[in-house]
Amino acid sequence: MADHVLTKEDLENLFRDITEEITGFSPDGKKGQIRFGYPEEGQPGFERNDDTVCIVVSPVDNPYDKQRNTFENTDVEFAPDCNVETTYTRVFQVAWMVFGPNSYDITDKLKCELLWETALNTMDEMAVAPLTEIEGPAYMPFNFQGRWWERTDLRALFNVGTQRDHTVGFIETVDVLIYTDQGLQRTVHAPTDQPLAGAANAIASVTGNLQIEEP
Amino acid sequence: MPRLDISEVINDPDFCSDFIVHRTTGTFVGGRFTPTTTPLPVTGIIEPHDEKEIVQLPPGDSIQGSIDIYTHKQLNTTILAKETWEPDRLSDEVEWHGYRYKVINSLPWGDFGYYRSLAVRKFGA
Repeated sequence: MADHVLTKEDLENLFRDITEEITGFSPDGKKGQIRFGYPEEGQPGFERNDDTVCIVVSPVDNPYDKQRNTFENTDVEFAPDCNVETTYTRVFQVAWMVFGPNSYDITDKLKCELLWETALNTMDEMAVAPLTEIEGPAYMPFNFQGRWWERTDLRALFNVGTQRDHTVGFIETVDVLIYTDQGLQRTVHAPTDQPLAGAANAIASVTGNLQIEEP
Repeated sequence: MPRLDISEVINDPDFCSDFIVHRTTGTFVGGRFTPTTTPLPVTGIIEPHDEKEIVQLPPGDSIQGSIDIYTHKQLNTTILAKETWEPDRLSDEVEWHGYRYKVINSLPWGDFGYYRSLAVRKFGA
């Protein structure tokens, strides 16, 4: 298997698509009803009565991120090396900052439908899974230019399956040197998949009766 | 309506210079604003607003600076399009002495024949 590492942009696109599916809003056009936070050059704002969703994806520290599962793959396709597959789970927080008169209703809908099959299947295709205990929406209106603007925030955590591969050198054979009291010496090139069998055959051929037990 | 009009000063060769304004419009594509920039030749007066100042930060020094721009037509900040009242443009950028400055403030002194804009140096170093 090759590396499977979703970039931050991959995750942003994933949750943009899921948000579009749930809310019916469009991330295209003049209004940009679904958009991302912290654009480098800024982006046009919106009016108080425009329902707008701003998505921010950020990594978070989580105990689940500490475990590493390592598998050493010695299949012939990687010969003469060994392919080491390291799999682990990254945890990301997705924050939806929703503005507009329907902000609470939109976040409530998101909170529910993130756990429906459609969204779950979309996430599953990219090895992403939600932590199902999602916090309730946080209603936080703010004052701007003499008016109160509606805003509701929703946050959720997601496990993101990740795999990174690297190769290590692989010992193919081991030379076994056999000495007797007569000073005889034989060199056995024992393959590492059957080291003891090769060495045992060599010793038996020299001594005639010495046996080695397989572990 | 005020009777004082000093617009002729904006074009006075003792004060004015020619420079380029980079005007940006655009649209959202996939949630990201995709800009289209058009260079416009403009005549007006540019003067320093404050000195070039170095800010010492852990990763390195950054440079701050800003300019005042006086023009006959108002420069854009991120603004609603008057025709549709939809937001579709970002702030203008002014190219002056080899550096780009982003307009962050535009004061409508149009009743007196001019507009004054404040622009900050775009690149940190």
